[in-house]
Amino acid sequence: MEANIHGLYEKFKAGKLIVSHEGSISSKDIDDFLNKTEDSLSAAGEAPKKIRKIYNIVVEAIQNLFHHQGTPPPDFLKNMKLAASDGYCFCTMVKEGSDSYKITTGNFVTYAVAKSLRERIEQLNSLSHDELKNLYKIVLDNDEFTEKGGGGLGFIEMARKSGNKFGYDFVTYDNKYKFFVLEVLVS
Amino acid sequence: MDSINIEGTPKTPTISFDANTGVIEIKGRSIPENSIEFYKPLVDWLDKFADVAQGTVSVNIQLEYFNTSSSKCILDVFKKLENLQNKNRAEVVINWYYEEDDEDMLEAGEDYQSILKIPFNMVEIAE
Repeated sequence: MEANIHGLYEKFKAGKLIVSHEGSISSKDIDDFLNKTEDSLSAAGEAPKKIRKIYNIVVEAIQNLFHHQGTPPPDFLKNMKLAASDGYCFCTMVKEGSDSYKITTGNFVTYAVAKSLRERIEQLNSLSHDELKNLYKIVLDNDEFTEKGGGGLGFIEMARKSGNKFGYDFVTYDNKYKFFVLEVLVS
Repeated sequence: MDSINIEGTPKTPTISFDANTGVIEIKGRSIPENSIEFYKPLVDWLDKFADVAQGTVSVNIQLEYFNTSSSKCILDVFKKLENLQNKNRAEVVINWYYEEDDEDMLEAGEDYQSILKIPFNMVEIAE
């Protein structure tokens, strides 16, 4: 099965690749990814407004991975020759067409988390721009932090900034894990 | 009361909280992985400042980026300032700076403005 996950990563790297990362992700990896994102978009002559929008989405996406790279299935770690304590995830950004960018992330989740994520994404995909704005303000002001220290706002913010519906898939890995793929398009 | 001065980094903003002048500044980028850790001392300082603040407290927020984890922490900072105002300790005004074509940053300021009962000035700056 691990070959399929790496194969997914290779698939999402195809095309006009801007930046990518596979494996466990550290704070330094995040810095490198963000620097490469900003430098590449500037070098491509993208407008500051667009760079900001994409950068904001990448920050949320990659920091979500940092907090949720979790503990992948033991057989996956073994077969990929990773340490037992390593996390695993991937993130890619490719240019699509003349003016769109697609950010794709992947990480392992349990079946329960997959169910909850699917419901959340489908809910966000059903909301209008104004409904997303209102939901953002409600969650912002709810005095709650998630167990990873986040605010529960990351998905809402990505939806607002991208202006497009999320693409997503839950690839079955085994009877305990799915592999969650999220696609965010910025046009 | 001591002031707080923290130099900015690529992921955390420059902080200048001056207890004598009442000028509170947060400038730069706020995208740390753990925002609670960064902002807790600032929120704690504001709790103590509420007991001594007088006159006008001017709050200057000039952020290029902030992650959603920071957005909650920044709201906590604002809520401490709202409490300070409610205690009639001082008059608080928030100056929210945004670059001229950065509608998202303007909208973020307006989001906070709609939640809080502190006067906000939206200040456009040339890019």
